[in-house]
Parts: sequence; structure tokens; C-alpha cells
Amino acid sequence: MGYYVNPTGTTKEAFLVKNGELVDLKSLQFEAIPKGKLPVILVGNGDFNAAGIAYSAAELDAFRGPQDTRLKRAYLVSVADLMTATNSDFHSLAGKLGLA
Amino acid sequence: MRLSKSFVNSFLQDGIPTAEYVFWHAKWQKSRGRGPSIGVMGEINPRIALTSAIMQLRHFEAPFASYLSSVIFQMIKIANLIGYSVNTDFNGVLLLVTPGDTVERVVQHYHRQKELAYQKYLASPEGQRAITELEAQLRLCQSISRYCVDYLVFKLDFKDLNAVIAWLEAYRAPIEASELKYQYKLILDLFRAHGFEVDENSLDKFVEDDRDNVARFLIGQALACIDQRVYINPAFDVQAEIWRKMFNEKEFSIFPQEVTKAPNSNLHEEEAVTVEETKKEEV
Repeated sequence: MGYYVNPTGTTKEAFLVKNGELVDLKSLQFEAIPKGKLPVILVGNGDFNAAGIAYSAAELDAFRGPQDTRLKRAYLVSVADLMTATNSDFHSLAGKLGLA
Repeated sequence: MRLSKSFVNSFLQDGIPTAEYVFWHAKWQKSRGRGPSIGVMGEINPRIALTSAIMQLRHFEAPFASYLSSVIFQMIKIANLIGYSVNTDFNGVLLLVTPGDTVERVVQHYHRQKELAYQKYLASPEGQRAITELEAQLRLCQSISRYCVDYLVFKLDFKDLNAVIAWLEAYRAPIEASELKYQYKLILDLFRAHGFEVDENSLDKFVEDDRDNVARFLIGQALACIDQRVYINPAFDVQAEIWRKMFNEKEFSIFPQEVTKAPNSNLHEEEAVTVEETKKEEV
């Protein structure tokens, strides 16, 4: 199951530009991410884009699997900002992981 | 209707009898218990001249750029006066009105005939060809616009004003050519998130010899069109070209330069269409 960014009042693309820091997906090391931030991967699905939260190293690797040739951009977003654009599933995950 | 000599004479044109004059003169004569007595148009026999005049009156010549209902109204008026049906050709549809007809009936007939003609055209080889061409153009424009949107989200460097202007040029053309809609919210939100504004640097903030100021002005004008839900003015391309010349900017294309193919549905190359084809379609 994935966790996705779906802000209200703006698009996910604009939300990530405003609240995120564009980083290189290929070279991104999960361990090196500053505390209190998570990578969000914007993925092109043709008719729409999805913004998935890579909440673990395994999840981050899943996003950049070599067989997945979809367009992608990675942003580092603070968990506090993510809380404003996610649902309760992510909120409880953040609580469990001690991120919130 | 009571006829008078002066009414009948009002249809003389520079003293020469017109069809209306011949018709009303005959009516006037009849009201006095007499037969037609005017021979015109090279016809000395008054009865034949009257028949010719009526034939002429029964064909209505609609003035250029007339409204349908206005034309029908005038035709009914004539039909009621002369007591015969009146016809005209309106946009390729034969309209026939009879004395006592109504505008509504004839308007409905017109639209029915137009619809039938349209359906006939669609079923014809020419119509089928036109549909195929239009559908192909629409698909092409859709794929290019989708490519542009993907480029906007995943590739465009918003700090490069030349690239941003080139993106607006690339996106404008297929949208307008196919009457698609801009992705208003995505575009406006994204541009605003990158610090651009609708109508930026307009009026007293415009500095004509400042590269960035003018570029942002052009972008702001394009965004204003998108914000107002209208197509970006085609003059945008001309202004972009002037901007590049003024500030020695190179031509910029968002389409891959190493190949003549622009990706179809996304930035990958599985479904490719040629840039050349794109240009042809736009023309």
C-alpha cells in the first residue's frame, strides 16, 4: 500500500514545488535525508501524476526500479507539510514511525 | 388593402417600371375592373409581363449576411402580399414560404435540412476522409499537448526564461489547433509556485530593455490568457521571436533535437510522431 500526497486547493505538482526541495532521485540516499523530511516521488502516469511518499529505504528503491521507466521527479518535503496534504493513513504511519 | 395610384407609382425606379410596379399596377387595374396593361422588360404583352413580374417577385434575393429569421419574415411578407409562394437559397438550403406561413416553421425546416445535409456529408467519402483527418489531427495535438504537460512537470527549468517561453509556444499551438482546453489549474499553480504571476511586469513595471523583465512580461501575458480561459494569442510567438532577437537568445525547442521525432504520449519514445508532421498539421 502506498501513501500519496493530495493537497486541497492546489495541485500536487505546485505543492511539491512550493514545499519541497528538488533532489536527484538516482543518487538519493535514504539514510542521508535530514530528520523530519521524507522524499516524495512525483510519477507520470500519462493522464495524471501521482505523488508517492517514500517512507522507507525499501519504498524509495521501489520507486526507482530499473524496469519502471515512467517520468519521475523527487522532492524532499518536511513531514509537517506532508501532514497538511495527506490522509489519516499517512498520519498514523507517521505516528508509528515517530515522524509526526 | 386599398390601392392608390401614388402607392403603385412608388415602385417606379427613375420612371422605369419594376416587377413590383407591374404586379401592383395589375392589382390596381383589377380593383378598377380592368386587366393588366403594362408591358415591360421587352415584353409588350401585359399578361406575359405580369407573369414574368410575379416569377421575379417569387424569388427572393437575401442580402449578404442577413439573419435567417429576418429573411424569412420578409419572404412571408411578400408571399402574403402577392398571394404566391416565395423562394430563396439560404446557405445552400432552398427555402419556400407560402402565404400565411410562420417564421418558426421555416426556421425549423432550414435547420432540419442543414442537419440532413450534414449527415449526408458525413456519410460521403469526402466526409469520411475529413473525419479521419480531423481525428488524426486531434490525436496528434492531444499527444503533443500531453508531451508538453509532461515536459512542464518533469523537465522544464523554470529558471531558464527562454525555455519557459519556448514551452508556452510549444503548448499553445496544438491546443489552439485542436480546440483542446489548457490544463488551467496545473499550469497556473505550477507557474505561481515558481514565482510567476498573471500580468507580471505590465504597465508601469514594464522595462523594455531589461531581458528578464520583458520575458516575465511575455510569460505573464500568456498566463493572463490561460487565467481568463482563452487561448494564448498567436502573437505570443512573434513577441517571443522579437524578445530572442533583442536579447541575443538562441532558439529553444522542448522537443528532442537529436532526432526529428517528438515523443507521443510522454517523454519516452515508444509512440513517436515526427516534428515535421506536427508542423504540417499545425499549418
